[in-house]
This record gives sequence, structure tokens and C-alpha cells, in this order.
Amino acid sequence: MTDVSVRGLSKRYGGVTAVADLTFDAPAGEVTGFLGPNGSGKTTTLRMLLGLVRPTAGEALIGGRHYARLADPRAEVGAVLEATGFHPGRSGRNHLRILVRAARLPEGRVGQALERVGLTASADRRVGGYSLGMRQRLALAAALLGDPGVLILDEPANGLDPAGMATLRELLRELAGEGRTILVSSHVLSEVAQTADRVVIISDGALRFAGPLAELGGTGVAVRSPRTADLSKLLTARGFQVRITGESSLEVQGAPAEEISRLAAEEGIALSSLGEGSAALEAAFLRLTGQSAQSASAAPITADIA
Amino acid sequence: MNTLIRTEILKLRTVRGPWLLLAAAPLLVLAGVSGLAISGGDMNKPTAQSGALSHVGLTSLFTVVFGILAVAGEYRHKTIVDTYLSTPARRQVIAAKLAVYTVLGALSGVVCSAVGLAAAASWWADKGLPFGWSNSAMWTTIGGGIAWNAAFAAIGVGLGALVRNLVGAIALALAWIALIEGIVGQLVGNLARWLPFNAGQALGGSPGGSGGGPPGLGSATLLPRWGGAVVLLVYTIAFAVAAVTTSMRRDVA
Repeated sequence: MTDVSVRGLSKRYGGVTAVADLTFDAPAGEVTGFLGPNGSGKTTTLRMLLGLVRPTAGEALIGGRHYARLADPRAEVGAVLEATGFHPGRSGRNHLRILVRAARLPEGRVGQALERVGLTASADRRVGGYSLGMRQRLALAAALLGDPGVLILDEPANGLDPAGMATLRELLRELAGEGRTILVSSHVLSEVAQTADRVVIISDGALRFAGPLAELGGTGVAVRSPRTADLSKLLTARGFQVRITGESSLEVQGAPAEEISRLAAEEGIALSSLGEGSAALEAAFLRLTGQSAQSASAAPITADIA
Repeated sequence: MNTLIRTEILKLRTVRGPWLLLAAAPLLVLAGVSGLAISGGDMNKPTAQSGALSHVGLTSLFTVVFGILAVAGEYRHKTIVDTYLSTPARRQVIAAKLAVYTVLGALSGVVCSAVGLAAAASWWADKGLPFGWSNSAMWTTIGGGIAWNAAFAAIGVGLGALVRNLVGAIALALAWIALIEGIVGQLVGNLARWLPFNAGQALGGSPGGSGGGPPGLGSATLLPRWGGAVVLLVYTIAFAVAAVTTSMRRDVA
């Protein structure tokens, strides 16, 4: 089993810092969600991991080694990058045959990978006629050719319809279940919340959070109300932890949603929304990445860096 | 290296574009040889046969674009990412491409020569003139033309790896051949003979410069055939080395 580790990684393009002194781990056999807003440095980080981009400082290692030093890269790491492309005049099957030949893998892997992503029927058509979802599946098939222990996926859900997303989620869970190390990036927390064991959150190229999903504050309840101040006072008086997360939103720890609803009703405080789980997670994510109305508290919270 | 060469060949076998490009080359030779005969040039001249076969070298225009496709084409379709993920040793990837495209450039020259010879022999027979199969000037013109095709394919690979933008690289190569070398040639006078297209002309052109002469070279004369060969070889090596070394360091985005 192989883990992925990033140590003091930085990348500057001229005067622009894309990644700043980033350190995190994606432990072996776990699904790590790599989150951040668009332009926060996720893609650059993943490219440095894959030896496509040269770091300005620091190291990005797979199983303790640089990608370029891997003996058999396709058999150790599979990658789906947004930048990956296909020749429009080439069939999906031929695209995979080329990769198999370059990696000296058995030809039979092509059929297996196509089968796994459900692309067998269209394999002999030119990629130019593929839909976005089919291209994503072809890219995934390419990543799986070498049966690698590590998968690095950059925004694999981009451009997928809801059915495609569900299939992707299912496949990720299946691949994780086989004991693979998975690092999957996204700018939408909810996309990975159901599959990730842990998350790494970055913003402006710097680390904001690294640790198990549960520590992100997802156990709380996100509440929206026009009378946040009154509601906060009421809940605090009952011994619950309340944090104001926006002009008309707050997050409550320790109280079930029904309890909050009942208390608010008794006091005649109207609630405009009440969300458990994902909504609270999303609120925490937005707060960490400085995307919410109140972005003052975006200091790095680092938990559980081994 | 063997694996990489076989991979490059498979890449070429699974698309049509590069082959359509190379298929245009013998058609150009056919048209050129026929044009010479139809326009009523003096086919009795001793240099007429090598003049007809000098069209083989001119198809380097196609092999340079063919070579550009090797790397710049991969950037165009973003397949370069998968290529480097499979083989992080980029130096070897570029070296394999140089080898494959140079050989195919030479083969294209061989096909063009066969077509050119067949066309010339037919036209000569049509005019009732004897076609000298043992004309040594013709054969050295053919040999030079094939070498020119191979060299320009390799230079194309290098140029594509340096520029990386497909349209930009093709535009630059064609503009250089059609325009820039002529203009630069006028500025530098006799030194123009050292420029790549003129070196190619020296290598694969017709001896004695029957008619016209290369554009822009003015009254200056081309290098001798061996001189053209050496100069073109130097350009080829320079482009190949530049391509291999820059590919090592650059970020792939």
C-alpha cells in the first residue's frame, strides 16, 4: 500500500504564488478529498505530484518517491487530470492501446478497463464523437489500466450529469473498497463528502484544514433565520455551542434539528432554513476557504497531521 | 527505447492526419515533373533529369510539418499529459519521436523518388527521348532530396517541441521557408547559403542551378552538395538537442 505525501510544496509562476508551503498526507488505503475553490492551487499541486510541473520548493511524493523515479508509473499511479486530452480522430480503444504499449502492460487490460467503466460498446468509435461523460469515463479507464494502488483524480465530477456523478461515486467507493489510496479533488465539498474518509482543504494555495471529515464541524446544524442574534442568545442559554457564520446564518453544535426548531417556535423566531450534515459541512468549507460573508476566521486549522 | 518507438508508431497508425499530409508529397512531385514536361522545357539538356527529380527535396515542406505534429500535435490534443505520465523520462520520448519521424521522413522521400522517377520516365518516353537510368547527377539529386526530407522531419520535431503551439509552429515553419529566409537572405548576402532551406537546396537541388535559383539568394551561389549536407546536419542536431533539453525542464500545463 502506497501513501501520498506533500511536504512544504510551493510553486510560483513569476510573481504569482499558486501553491504556498503546502504539507499534507493522503494515507494508504483511504479516500482523501482535496478541496478548495477554483484557482486555489489544487490542479497545480496534483501536477507536481505527477511530475508534470516542477515545484519551486518542497516535495510531492508517492510512496516516498518522486513520480519520475517510479519504476512502473502506470502500475503504481493512475491519474485523471482535467488537462488530459484525446486525439479526436482516434478511437477510445486505440487511445488505451497506446497507453498499454507505452507501459508494457498486457493488451487484455484494454478490454478490462473499458468493461469496468462501461465504455465497451463505444470503444471503437472516434473520441471526437464522445460526450463529456464518455470522455471522463475513458480518462478513468486510462487511469485504471495498470491496476494502480494510487489514484489521483482532478475534478472527476466536472461536467457529469447527476447519473454520471452517482456512477462515479459508486466506482470511487468500489475502488476505495479494494484498498486503493485515492486523492480526489473538487471545488464542491458535497461531491466528495459521501466518499471521503478525510479532507484536505486549501485556499489561495495554502492549507486551511487537514483531517477526518468529522472534525470539520459537520456534526453541527446550519440554521438560517432573520433573527440570528435572538436565536443565538436563546440556544446559548440552553447550553448549545453557537457560531455565527453569516449575516443571517449560524451553526449549532450539540442540538438536534428538531430541538432547535421547537425552541425557535416557542419564542416565535422564524427559521428560513434548517440543515443537518451536508449544509453544515458546506458552511464550514466556505468559512475555511474564505468564501462566506464572514471570512475573518480563515486561519488554518490543522488536525491529525501524522 | 524499443517500447517508445513502437508506441510512437502505434500513435501514428491510429490517426489519419499525418498520412494525408505525407500523401500530398508524391502528388506534388508528380505535378512538378509533369509541369516541367508540359511547359516545354528543354528535356534534352544533361541537367533536365536531375532538374525534374529535384522536386523530391522540395517535399521537405511536407515532412517539416509532419515532424511538427510529433510534439506540438500532442500538445494540441493534450495527449502529451498521458504520454509523459506513461514515460516520465521525457528525453527518451523526444528521442523516440526524432527517430521515428526522421525515418518516416526519409521513407516519404523514397516514395516521392519512385513516383518522380516513374513520372519522369513516362514523360521522357512520351516525348520520344531516351531516359538515362544511369545518370549519376540525377541519382545524387534523389539521394540528397531524401536526406533533405529526413532532416526537415527531424527539424520539425525539434521545432514543435520548442514552440509547442501547433498552429504557431506550422506558421513559423512555412513563413520561414516562403518568406523569412528570402528576406534574411537579402540582408546577409552571400551568408544566405548557410540558412537551412538554402542548405537543403544545395543538398537536394539540381546541380548547376538550372533556371531561377532559390528565391532571395540573388547572385550568391549555393554551397556544394556535401556542404549543404553538413550544414543541414548541424541544424538537425541543434534542433534535436534543443528539443530534448528544453522538454526536460518545462512545466506541462
